[in-house]
Amino acid sequence: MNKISPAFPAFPASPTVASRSFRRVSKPFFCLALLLLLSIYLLPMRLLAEERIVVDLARYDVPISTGFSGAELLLFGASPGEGDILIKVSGPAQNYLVMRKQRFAGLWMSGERVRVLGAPAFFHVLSSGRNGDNWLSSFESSRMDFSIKDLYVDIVGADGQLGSSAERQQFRDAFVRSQRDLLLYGESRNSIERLGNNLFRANLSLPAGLPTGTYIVETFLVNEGKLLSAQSTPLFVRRSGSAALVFDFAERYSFLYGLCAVLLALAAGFLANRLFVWR
Amino acid sequence: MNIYLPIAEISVNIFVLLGLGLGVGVLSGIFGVGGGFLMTPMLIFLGIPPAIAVGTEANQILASSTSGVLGHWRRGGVDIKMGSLLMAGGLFGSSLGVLFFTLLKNIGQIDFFIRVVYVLLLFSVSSMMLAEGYIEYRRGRLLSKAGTSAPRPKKKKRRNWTKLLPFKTRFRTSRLYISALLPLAIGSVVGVLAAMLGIGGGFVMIPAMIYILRMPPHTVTGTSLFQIIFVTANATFLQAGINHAVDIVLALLLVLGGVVGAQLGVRWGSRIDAVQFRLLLALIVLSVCFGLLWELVVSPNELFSITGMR
Repeated sequence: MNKISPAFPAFPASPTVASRSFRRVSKPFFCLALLLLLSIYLLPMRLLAEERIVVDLARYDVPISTGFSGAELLLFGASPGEGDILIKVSGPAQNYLVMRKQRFAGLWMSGERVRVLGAPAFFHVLSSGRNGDNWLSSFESSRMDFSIKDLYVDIVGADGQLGSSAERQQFRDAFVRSQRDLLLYGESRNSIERLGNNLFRANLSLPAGLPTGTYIVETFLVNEGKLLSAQSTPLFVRRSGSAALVFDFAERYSFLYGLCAVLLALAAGFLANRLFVWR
Repeated sequence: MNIYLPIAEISVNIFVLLGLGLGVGVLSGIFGVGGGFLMTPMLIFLGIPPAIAVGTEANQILASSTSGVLGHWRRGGVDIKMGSLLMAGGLFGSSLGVLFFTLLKNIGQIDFFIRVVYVLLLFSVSSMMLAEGYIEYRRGRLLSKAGTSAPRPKKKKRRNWTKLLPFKTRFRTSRLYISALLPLAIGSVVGVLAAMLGIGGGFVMIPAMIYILRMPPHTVTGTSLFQIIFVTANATFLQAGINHAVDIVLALLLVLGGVVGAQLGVRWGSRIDAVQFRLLLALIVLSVCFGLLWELVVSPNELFSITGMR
């Protein structure tokens, strides 16, 4: 399972080297360089400021506790102007084993096996789709991974060999079908509600079997097939409460967990005998 | 009301689980069977992954056997020497079973294997119960007609091959003088089954004890339960440690339902017609068997199955 680990790169801090090189540079040259740097940073920012899309989530983490049976994720934001909105929610990359059943002596048993590597455990695309599907398809074709159809997954045979492309497509289709059935993959057009005043809102239902890990919510503003603005926000899905406790314990100290399971069952058996048999 | 099972990683209705525990508990209370052979297929039908159904069932049977063995212990119905030999075989067998389970899981055939062996086991158990029930039913009819006790069918006297085995020892509680290899072998075979199928193995062990070891009836159930405790404890420990296949939350819910159900079953069991009820149980077992067989034989709607890899 994917553990949530904040991926902050550690910058090597070396103040002495920086200050030495600072002294070496002449003052006017330094001021010029600073001005140039500032203008590079600030100019496009000022230009983009009016065009930026802003989105926020009602919550940044989805706790999966013992009573979890799915959740609703509310996204809201403001788009700076004309255009259509596309929201992509993708879960952590995971590996899967896809097996095809095969008839053997009249019985169905598992036959060919294929590994699907690095597929997102969760993938949903919402779009405002104001102008029908045309704008979306033209936008999708320009970039990868904006629809399930274009989603890139690595498919490898069990023995490390790649089958024919038609075979691979079959396994890929089966994988996507299964993920769709589990409500882990989905595309919904026309699902972003415009509230006027450039505000928008969208609702995404998360199924009961939600995989844990770090999700990324990406929002895009598209006009006439061109990407105007984008923003991404993380979303953390993690086990919480006793469910997290039990899972972590079972995962990290599996033999100690087994011992606990044995002792617990023995205690339950003794207790049951006390309560009922000797009354 | 749904509950999220932390190891099985699915969310199941809590009342369905309690009801399942209760139902199988009632049956085990009435008939004195462990019920693992019914519970594991039911859990698989519910959508619990077969591997976790098997591992968790071992844990549940451990609890129910513990509560059951105490009564037999007090009545002196446990042959400790015989039980220890069966246990020694059982520990060996169940460890072998868990390793075999891991192997089959790794080559992706564990699901198929569990289903096929269950179909075979359930079919043989239900047909034996049907035959036995039918004979008793016939005898009951004769009894009520004649008004006297009907003659029991005569036992065939055969030369017993088990007498020829070496390492004979005396079992005082069971008043037997047989080879120590026999309980070791029987324990091993049942241990393999127990670890791989999520059963206690009582319904295989008890006929073996009666027909092969020829143990007296008063020590059979207690001794069987005694060794089941050690075998399922070993299976639970190894399944949790190696295969991460034991869900404590699921096991506790099943135990809760099962304990209450078993008490109800014991109370009802004395009041109902045992012969007719045994026929009913045989039919239940047979229908579970055909349910599993149906899934194996009929062309599936979805040819592909997907599992997440760690």
